Amino acid sequence: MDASDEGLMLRAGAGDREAFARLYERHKAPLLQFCLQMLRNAEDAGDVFQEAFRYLYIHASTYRPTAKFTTYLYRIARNMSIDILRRRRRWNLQPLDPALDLAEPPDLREPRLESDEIEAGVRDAMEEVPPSYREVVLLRVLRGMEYAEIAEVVEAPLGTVKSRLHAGLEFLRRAMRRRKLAE
Amino acid sequence: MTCVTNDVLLDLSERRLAGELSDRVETHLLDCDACRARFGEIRAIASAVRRCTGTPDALLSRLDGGMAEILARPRRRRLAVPAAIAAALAVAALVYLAAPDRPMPPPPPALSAIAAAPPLPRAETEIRTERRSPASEAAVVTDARRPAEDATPDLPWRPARPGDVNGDGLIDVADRLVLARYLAGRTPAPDPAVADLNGDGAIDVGDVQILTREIARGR
Repeated sequence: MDASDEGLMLRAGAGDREAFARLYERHKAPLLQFCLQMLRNAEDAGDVFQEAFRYLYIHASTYRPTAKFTTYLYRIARNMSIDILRRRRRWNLQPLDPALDLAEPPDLREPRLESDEIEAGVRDAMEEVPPSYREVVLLRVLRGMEYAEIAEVVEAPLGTVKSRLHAGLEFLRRAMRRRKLAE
Repeated sequence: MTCVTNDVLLDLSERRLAGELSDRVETHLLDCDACRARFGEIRAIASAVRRCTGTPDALLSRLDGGMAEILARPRRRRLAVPAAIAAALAVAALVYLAAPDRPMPPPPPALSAIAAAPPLPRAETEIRTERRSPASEAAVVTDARRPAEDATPDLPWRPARPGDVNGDGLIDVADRLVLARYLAGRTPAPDPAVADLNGDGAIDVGDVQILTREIARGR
């Protein structure tokens, strides 16, 4: 039996709920991480996460494996996130959610010296990265997606994806430098 | 070789560069102090991004619960009551449209005509409300909510479309999201003319179900 994402999604489209549940289990943590980092707010991220999977479930029967499943999934979540970010900008809402610090990983981390500072710095600096750059950085660095797939998710040309990645990393790098100078 | 962009440095740090290009970039790094320093920073940043993104267990558990509920329900609910309501509304609309003595609505005037015309008296709007059948009440409510004196030439009035909760002209998951957030008590109540889809006078889960079904139909 085809246990690939695409195979499971096709089975889900035919009414196999167990297949959809397996897909959910497989992708829930990475997708939630992406939503959290995109929106920087746990409640908004939870809403988008749930709506994305609900949308997938409702439209499962219309799914055609013309692209990778992850492309489909992340494009849905990304578009919903952009919608929320636009609304925030319209209403001038504050994105920062102190509760997001809960997203700090776990107890299994090895003790580190400077890397903890870098982590904290990156977490703060991510705020400064514009969403169109942030999403590319997250998809590439966090999810390890190929450029071609990222281009499909964000619906931009390949060259634009690379330049946004460059710019996003530059934002982070400069923010880290400023932080270092401030110390 | 000119200096290397951050995306290429990231690729190099993850060993994703093709052989020849990888060799050229590495050679450049040996000669260029600035790029070598930037390479170290990019590698540290990428590593930190991967480490600093965990998922809160409490949030994930809550979302798991929500997903279990979604999976427990049939994908397309064939509820008799909403279907009957929709059928009744459709029949009522047809009867209303076919009625011979119904005054035909005037064609939409050009914006310049709206600007030149005297304001529509409010009473006329109210009379029209009484003549309408229940089936088209939602549309009339929208009419009644449009004060004629507010009709300015530079802001053409656009009728509210039931289901278009966020008013972007589309009926899609974004509308459902707005409705869900209202039900969660996190946003103000949306306009009943677009959100009270079953016409029961309340914006509740029944409206969400109808909207979900309409979105699934690809309306």
